[in-house]
Amino acid sequence: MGRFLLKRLGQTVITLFIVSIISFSLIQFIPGDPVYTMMGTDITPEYHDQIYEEMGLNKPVYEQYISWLVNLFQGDMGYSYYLRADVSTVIAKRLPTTLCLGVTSAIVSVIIGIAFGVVSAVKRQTLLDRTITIFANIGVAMPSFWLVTVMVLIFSINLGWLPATGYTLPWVDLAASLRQSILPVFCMSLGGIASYTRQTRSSMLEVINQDYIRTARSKGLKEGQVISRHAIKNGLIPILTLAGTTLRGCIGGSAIIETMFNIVGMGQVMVTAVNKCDYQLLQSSLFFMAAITCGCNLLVDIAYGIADPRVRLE
Amino acid sequence: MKKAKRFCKILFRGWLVRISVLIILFFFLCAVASPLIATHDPNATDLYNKLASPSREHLLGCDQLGRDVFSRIVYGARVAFLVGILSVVVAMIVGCAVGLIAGYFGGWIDSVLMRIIDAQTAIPSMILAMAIVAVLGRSVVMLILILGFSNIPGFARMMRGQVMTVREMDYVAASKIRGNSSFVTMMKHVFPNCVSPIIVVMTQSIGGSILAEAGLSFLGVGIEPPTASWGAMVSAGFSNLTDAPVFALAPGVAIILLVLAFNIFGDALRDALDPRIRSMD
Amino acid sequence: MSNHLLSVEHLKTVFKTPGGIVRAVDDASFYVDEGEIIGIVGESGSGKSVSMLSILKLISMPPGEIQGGKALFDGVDMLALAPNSPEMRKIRGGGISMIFQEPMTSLNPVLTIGKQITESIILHLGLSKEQARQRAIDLLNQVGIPDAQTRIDYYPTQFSGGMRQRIMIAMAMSCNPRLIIADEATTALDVTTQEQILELLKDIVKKSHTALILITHNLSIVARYAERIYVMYAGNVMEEGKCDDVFEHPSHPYTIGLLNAAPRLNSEVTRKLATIPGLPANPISKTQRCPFFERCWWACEKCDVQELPSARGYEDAHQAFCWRDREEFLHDWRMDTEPIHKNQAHSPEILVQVQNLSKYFPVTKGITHRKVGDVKALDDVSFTIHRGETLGLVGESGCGKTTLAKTLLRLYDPSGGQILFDGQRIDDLPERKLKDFRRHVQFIFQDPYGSLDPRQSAGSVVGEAIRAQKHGLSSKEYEAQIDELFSMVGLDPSLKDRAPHEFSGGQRQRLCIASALASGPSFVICDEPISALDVSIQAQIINLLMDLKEQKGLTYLFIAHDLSVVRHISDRIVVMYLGKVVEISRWDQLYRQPLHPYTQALLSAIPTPDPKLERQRKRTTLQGEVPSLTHRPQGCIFHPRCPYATERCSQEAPEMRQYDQGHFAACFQIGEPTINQQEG
Repeated sequence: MGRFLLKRLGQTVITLFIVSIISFSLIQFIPGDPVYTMMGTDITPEYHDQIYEEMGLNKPVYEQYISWLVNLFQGDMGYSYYLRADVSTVIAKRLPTTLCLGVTSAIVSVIIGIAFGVVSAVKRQTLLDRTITIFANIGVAMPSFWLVTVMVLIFSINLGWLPATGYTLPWVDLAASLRQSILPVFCMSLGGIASYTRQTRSSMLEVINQDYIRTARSKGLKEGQVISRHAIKNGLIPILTLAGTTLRGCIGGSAIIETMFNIVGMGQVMVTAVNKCDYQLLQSSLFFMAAITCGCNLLVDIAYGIADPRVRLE
Repeated sequence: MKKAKRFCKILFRGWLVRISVLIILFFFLCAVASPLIATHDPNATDLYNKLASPSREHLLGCDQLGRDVFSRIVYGARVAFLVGILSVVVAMIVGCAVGLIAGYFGGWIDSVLMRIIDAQTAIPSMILAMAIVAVLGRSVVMLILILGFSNIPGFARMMRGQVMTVREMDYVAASKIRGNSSFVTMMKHVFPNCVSPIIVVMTQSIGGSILAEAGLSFLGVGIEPPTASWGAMVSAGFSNLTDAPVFALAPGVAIILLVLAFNIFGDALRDALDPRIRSMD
Repeated sequence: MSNHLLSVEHLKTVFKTPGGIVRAVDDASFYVDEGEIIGIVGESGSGKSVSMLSILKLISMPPGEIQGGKALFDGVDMLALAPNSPEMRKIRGGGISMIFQEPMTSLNPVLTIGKQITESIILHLGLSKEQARQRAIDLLNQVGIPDAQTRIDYYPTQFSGGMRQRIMIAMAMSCNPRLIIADEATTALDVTTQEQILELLKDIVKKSHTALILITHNLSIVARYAERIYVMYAGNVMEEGKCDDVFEHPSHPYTIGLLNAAPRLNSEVTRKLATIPGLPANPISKTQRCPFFERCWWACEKCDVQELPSARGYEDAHQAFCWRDREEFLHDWRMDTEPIHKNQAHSPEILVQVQNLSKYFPVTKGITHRKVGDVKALDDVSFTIHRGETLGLVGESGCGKTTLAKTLLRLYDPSGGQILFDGQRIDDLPERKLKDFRRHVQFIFQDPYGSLDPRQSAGSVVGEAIRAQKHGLSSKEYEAQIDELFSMVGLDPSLKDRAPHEFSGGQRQRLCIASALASGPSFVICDEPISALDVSIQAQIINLLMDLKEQKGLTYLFIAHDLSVVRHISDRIVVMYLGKVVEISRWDQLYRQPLHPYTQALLSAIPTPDPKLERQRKRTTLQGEVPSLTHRPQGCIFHPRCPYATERCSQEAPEMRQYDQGHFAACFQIGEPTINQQEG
């Protein structure tokens, strides 16, 4: 187990290193002058040179990279010229929102998706299974922005039950936060629920045909006990690997959801950074979000090791 | 040919699959014969009919510039097919090459390639795609490349696993013993046995690519206007949701139908190519 | 009527598949009495396992369906119970428990063995958790799991196959069932482990007066352990009776066929095996006619009716389901075939010489793939093969037999030592020169499913070597050669456009043989070519291999774990253990006078299909299991399991010494050789 963790930790560090190179090199590919692209061409040459130096663009590429990395580890992520604030301040302010929504959606997708998947597999070939399967297929195929459209149309515009914009953190105003969370969380997690349902179903079906399930039945256990004690744990191990991707999907999806619900979070920041060519904001937040994803993957691997003795005992 | 016939029989045994194929064919027809099916010029603006409701003249109403929504959906199929399929082809070529090399050589080459793939998986693909568009500018080719790029990990991982399994099979050793060179063995025995999972992953990725294209277009970094794209249409519709709900909803239905059809077809293909299921009769 | 413990009457189970209705069990009846050991023998597809799973309702329904019959256990008809009803669940595990074939997959990998054993104890005996745990520990001690107190909290992956099967036995015994069903419980294990497990099972059921049903394809196992046997074929019981009676007077042609098809350890002269012609009956197109009709030697008009034969009773509840009386064929049931001439034809010329051959696999660690050690798969192996002879190679898993075969073919590069083929060194041949060498040396794999590319047609698999080796052949000549190869191995050339998966196991192995012979080799390595096949098909393949050897003047290296097969086919035999050769001998010497303790144990572990002989045999059961290659013992590799081991054996490794003309062994405990050590 220790060696396994160490190996995965090493791999994560290498992955992060590659991510940092990808995020950093983005700015190198900008055709023309990055400062003019970012600030527009109507600034004075003096101001241009000042920013050029502030961003360290006059130094060689590898030096820029190293100083960016060093600064990053010291908490200095650069300066956003569009938002006129330090990137670290921007992230600190907006990350909680995105994480709150993202983590809630991830948890919702995992729990509901697995529940549906298990039920569907246990009751395979019944009407219930077919219904769940069809809905899961539609859920996977539905673009989240369209779902938002429909939901806003029904619940905000026609029925007026739920707000269509804004988000309040739960520790600021719990009631408002809950009301504002319902639509974004539902829209963000539906795709996840659908894909968890599909994956859990096929994984459980695989497990149900294994020899040890037959052994469990031959012992005289109730079908419910066979499923809950013997099948679920085995069936969920492959699903664990998906948990990492879910959070990544939620963070990626937050770009659309936050834009549509006008929520001030990381997704929206990144869209802004892209649209306004705010490069330091872009590269630092990109790296930061990727680092969070890598961290989640590492956690998933640890969970994997705990869940599966075959990995732990290696 | 008996084999092909039997394969088709297994593939099309469910009614859902048959409907899916019809849907795919229908949209494909829309894409290749758009002018014949569309009732209007998709780019002709008509400000009198701004956000008009569905009528006999405009089956699904008009958009914010008075363009016929139905015709734009028909033309939008072009972008969906072009981007959806070509990006997957790009991903397939690059991903399979990476997977083949990683799986065949193993060792540190494998480690390095897989870490790069991991890194790519770690970055939210939507944001990365947006960033690349922002930096390099947008065009259809760029969109295909970007979406292709984000699909590489799936192909690379699958191909690597497949190669590592097939490489250890007895028939590969047998081929060497029969006097074939490594290259012949690779081409004749290893590669063909990896093909069917590739086809399955391809079909299953097309749906995802169409969705991703729609998402990017929705965020305004996809296809350049005025070319019709379903994602961009939903986006424009969302801004005018109270006035013209059909305009926002209809292109979404098109997306769902086509993606659903590709996914169901992909699943059926996987089942039909699965030797465990095939050997049952 | 019945005071039997379990009595099954007219059981019928079918599977509804897209290809048609498979009649897996078709009117089978049998019974077990309290404390009795019965054996059910049959080849794959005979319905022996399905009938057991059916009475416990453990088959998946659909596609399975039990169409009729009764299964009275203690007076309760189990077939009338719903699969998951409380009554059925009480019988499962509490009244009848099962041990399954695959020890690697039959235990849940994510639960500790303790949890899995106590689970049923708590369920059926109603003990508390602590009591159940104590009982589980006692049981594990009983089945010979050392250090059960700690190991109860281990996971299945931490045990070897043999140990897991012991755990399965503990689990099966845990609730004092009245009947245990062992479904091919030892098939996946090594011979010495198989013997340990079966002995353990026998002792335990005899002590506790539990009944036992042994389901197996191996006639010899039932001969050694069962009191009564049933022979099944294509879903029907063909013959039943007391073990001794059935083996002495087999009264059904199929039983006779099975007995003749298996090579024996005890016959003085080896004769060609009498095979059962044709392929096993197809359970889909099955009619009511006697299912063995098409393959039977004694079939006549009166058998050709659409009705299953009724029972014909003989002595003492011995009965056969055959239209003909056994008096009509019993007199010549041994079917003495022509004897095999061994040891005469081969020339003194040495074709293959292996000297001090070693193959180590590096053990690497970390992302840098740093080498930290070696697994010695082959360690200092030397032997010779003469032109025209068959050298048998036996050993259990991990002894290095497949590694040796692959190293001889240069699929692996040797780590040390020399290989000479036809006087030429091939161990250092560069890759590009191997092609010519491989034209003379070919390989037949164990698994006829994995060794044929599923995407090539049968013809192109066979023709591949012709294409690769001979250029400039016209397509007509090429096709003609393929046709010839097909007929040579007994396949219809018109089948050559089919895909490999359309052939049965035996036919596939014929394809493999044809493709191996395509390049016209002089030396063929057969790596367990028959162990994946049914008994009746095994005999066909053995005969084919022996015929081809005679026709083509081939030299074989025949690898197997089954000593009776090796003895049958080989001229000389090499015995290997953990990567080392422990004994080399002529085939008859080895069986008359085995020298090495390991060989002796191996011989005694193999049962023969003759219950009387089995009772007379003196047996030495080996303790322990084959250690893993990463933990090779110091000194003599066999000493931890050797009954004669002394201090010296654990420190010094013995050399190979000659004891008789051509009879070598590596052991300190068999005295000083009296023969001149020059090679004979």
